[in-house]
Amino acid sequence: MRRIIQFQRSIDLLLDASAPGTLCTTCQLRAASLQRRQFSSSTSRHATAETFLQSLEKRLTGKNPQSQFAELKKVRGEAKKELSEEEYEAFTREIDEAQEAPTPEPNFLDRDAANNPNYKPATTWAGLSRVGSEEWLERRRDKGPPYKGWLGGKTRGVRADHMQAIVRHTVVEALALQQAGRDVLEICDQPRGLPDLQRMALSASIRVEGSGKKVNLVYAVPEDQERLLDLPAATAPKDIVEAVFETTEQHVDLANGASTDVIEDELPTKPTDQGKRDEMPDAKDVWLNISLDDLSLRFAIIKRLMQITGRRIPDNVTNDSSRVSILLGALMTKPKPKRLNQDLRARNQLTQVSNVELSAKRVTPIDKEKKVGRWKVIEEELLRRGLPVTGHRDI
Amino acid sequence: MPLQALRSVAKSQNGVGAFILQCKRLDFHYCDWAGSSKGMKCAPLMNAFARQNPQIEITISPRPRKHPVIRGTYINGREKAVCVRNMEKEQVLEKANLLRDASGEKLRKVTKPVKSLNESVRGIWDPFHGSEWKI
Repeated sequence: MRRIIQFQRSIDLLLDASAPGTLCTTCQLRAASLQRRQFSSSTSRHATAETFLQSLEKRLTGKNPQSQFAELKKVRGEAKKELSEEEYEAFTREIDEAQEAPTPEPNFLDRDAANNPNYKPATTWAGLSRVGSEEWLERRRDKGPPYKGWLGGKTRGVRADHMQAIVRHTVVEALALQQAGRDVLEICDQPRGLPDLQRMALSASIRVEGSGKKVNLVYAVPEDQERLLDLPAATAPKDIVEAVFETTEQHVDLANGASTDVIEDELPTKPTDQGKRDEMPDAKDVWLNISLDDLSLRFAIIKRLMQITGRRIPDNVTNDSSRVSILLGALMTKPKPKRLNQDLRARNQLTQVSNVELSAKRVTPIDKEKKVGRWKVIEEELLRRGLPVTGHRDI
Repeated sequence: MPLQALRSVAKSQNGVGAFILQCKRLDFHYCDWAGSSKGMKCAPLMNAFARQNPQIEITISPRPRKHPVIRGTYINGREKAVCVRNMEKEQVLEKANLLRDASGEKLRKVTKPVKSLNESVRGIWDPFHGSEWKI
């Protein structure tokens, strides 16, 4: 039985009650269908000049945006008195850019013939606004708040020794911030492309006491601590990642004996240097035992590593990383290839077997014909007859 | 007149002299996304099978959004396909071996399991020999 909506039931009753007995069934039904079309239970909505965001803001804040402009004018006046000329110019420029209010859309109710006695219908389309195009729709669409992702986007294949260096200097920077009493998440905003920042982080020695919860940083040069904390302004994630990669690779290659001219002068010089440059000053695995029980520290380090490597660290790894060694182990393991074909080629076993043929894509009938050598003939004949080679003629 | 040889077709006895494997090609199709292909997507299994059967041409290709299938092509031109959806890797290997060991002939109900080219040892029955029937 068809489910009848409540208001439909009431309409039917109304129509039944008002229908005169003298009308034939056909005329009654026609009248009923006309009345049903006119009836609407939804609330009426009038065209407004406000966009969705503006109306939402008004509703949420309860303020008229125009009053905010008046307030800003006041602030501008005060700033002019207190700031110097250059600072005031920069300040006003910022405000102007932020305050580019969108031009209000015309109120279409004013153009209604019923409201406007001077209204004359247009005879040509000159001067009339066009509605309904793709661009018009695009302009009116509510795109929501602008969002900038913090993840770099590009996944890089990182060598094992590079990964160790990246994790180590990230840990040192995070610990430096933590010990200075600052928000650890600041490391995610900073570019680490400057070679001396890398050098400072890599040359600091880590002393771990107890079960890894108490950590002391000892800097090769005392001024390093201040410079490490005096962090420059944020840049785009792309710049952070590119710069970090270049400098980390240079540092690690130098440690492994490669020579680079660029960074020669900026090598960390230990007081007890025994001929090896850029060696981690502390014992080999001490920094791996650092405890990450402090969740703010853990999240900051993981976020920073995700920014640098471009690899998403899954939630279960985040949950289980109570020590730096566990996190490093998870980062060092290569992610499993998504496709079987990639897995088989990576293992390099079946590629060496002569009777095996691997294919990355679906083998279609055309591929089979091409292999045999028949496809050229088929294609030629189809073209000669004016038939579609693939697909259908009309589609 | 010199003796003329009987004109007859050679009787095929595969395995008496040389043995020719009937299966010439095996196609393994899988889907990267579907879970039913999990048993087939085992690299060591495929590697071992390919190395043990160098006389068979093996192709491994994806067939997206379909169940996994092993398709065998035989010398008589026929093909046999076995769907290995939701099977474990050992079961998939069993099916691959099954297809490898099969000939291309259609599956038939076997009523007489012994086939022989030799004549019957005791002769074909006739009513004139043997026990008498008296009314």
